[in-house]
Amino acid sequence: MQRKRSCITMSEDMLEKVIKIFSAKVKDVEFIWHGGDPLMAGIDFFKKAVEIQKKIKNVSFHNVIQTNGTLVNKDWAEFFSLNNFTIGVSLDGPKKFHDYNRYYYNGLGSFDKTMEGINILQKYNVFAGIICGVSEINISYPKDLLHFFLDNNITSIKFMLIKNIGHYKKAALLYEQYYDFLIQIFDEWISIDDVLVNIQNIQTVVNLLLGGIERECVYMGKCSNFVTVYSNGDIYACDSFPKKQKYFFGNIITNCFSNNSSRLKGVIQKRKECCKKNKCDWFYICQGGCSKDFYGNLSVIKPKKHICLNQQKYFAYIKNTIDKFDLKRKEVGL
Amino acid sequence: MNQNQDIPQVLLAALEEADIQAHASLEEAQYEKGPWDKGHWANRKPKPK
Repeated sequence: MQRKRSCITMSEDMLEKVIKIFSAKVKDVEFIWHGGDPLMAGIDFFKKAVEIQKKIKNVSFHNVIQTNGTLVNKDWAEFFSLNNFTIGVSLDGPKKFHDYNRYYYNGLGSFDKTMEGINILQKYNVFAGIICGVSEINISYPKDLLHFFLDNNITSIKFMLIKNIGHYKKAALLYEQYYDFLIQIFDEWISIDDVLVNIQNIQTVVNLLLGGIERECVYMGKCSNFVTVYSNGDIYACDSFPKKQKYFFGNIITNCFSNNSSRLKGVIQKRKECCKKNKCDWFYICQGGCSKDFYGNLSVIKPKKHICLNQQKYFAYIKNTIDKFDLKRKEVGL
Repeated sequence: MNQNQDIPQVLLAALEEADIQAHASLEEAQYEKGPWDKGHWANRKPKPK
């Protein structure tokens, strides 16, 4: 299958405006550069971004790139290392799985180049980990996936149920399948029992169950803290949402902003109140969950029951496993 | 599995980490805004070799 090739890169003027606007009222800000593949923008684009950031005093910038890794070379790796970038790579498992959904516009799979990119990033110590898209092609092989990553010295892993968009051929999965997949990953994580193996989906839940406070974004209940800025200056909600008018917050250039941001914040708050009112045992973990899973539009606040039930099953499984061990927490001083 | 079974090292490490965070949150009183308040890989910097 062939795909159309396109690359729309943010202009330098826009880049400067975006960085200045989003660092104007904060002490620290994180930019997550996405694409397509963000490296298509070229190394000069990111050099410019860093140059702009360095001129802004009293703000701490952190840059994260999520890439398919195919364009990574020594020059990129040196730049990332020099400027303290954090690099995540999208890798869906062994070649037979990865190439199924991730291929070039000419139809050839990208696995070999992605692995080459990871090796370079590892050598320069700028490789943070992989995000593995979970789709129908690999969901039946959780243990094989995990061991493939570990065999390739990839120990920081996040699994993500892929969206049924773009070039993914067949993505639609049931939440039940996905959480069963994660439960099998959890069991294997326990079985492997290596403290250097870091699986974000699991450890964030384990951490919270044990009284920690480290939350990945889906369990923060603060979805309105994240926005997506497109190359034309359009600002939307987190890119997990579809790019639709109801999630349009405004535009950098026109300086015209809708009230959708406030509406989203209000809906998230109401959703939290709804969870508390229902006395959900798991609210302290999920904080209402990822907004994209729950809001078909900005007026719906009721949880989607099938998502909640499967997520709760996942939380309960992990808690029951932990509870079987005699883990004693130290008293926290009050 | 029972309580006499050896506790997995990954759970012991997770417990230790959770304890550190819980103490830190009380000491610094910054639950609402802290270093964990990040997306994606912010807390996953590679360990120095």
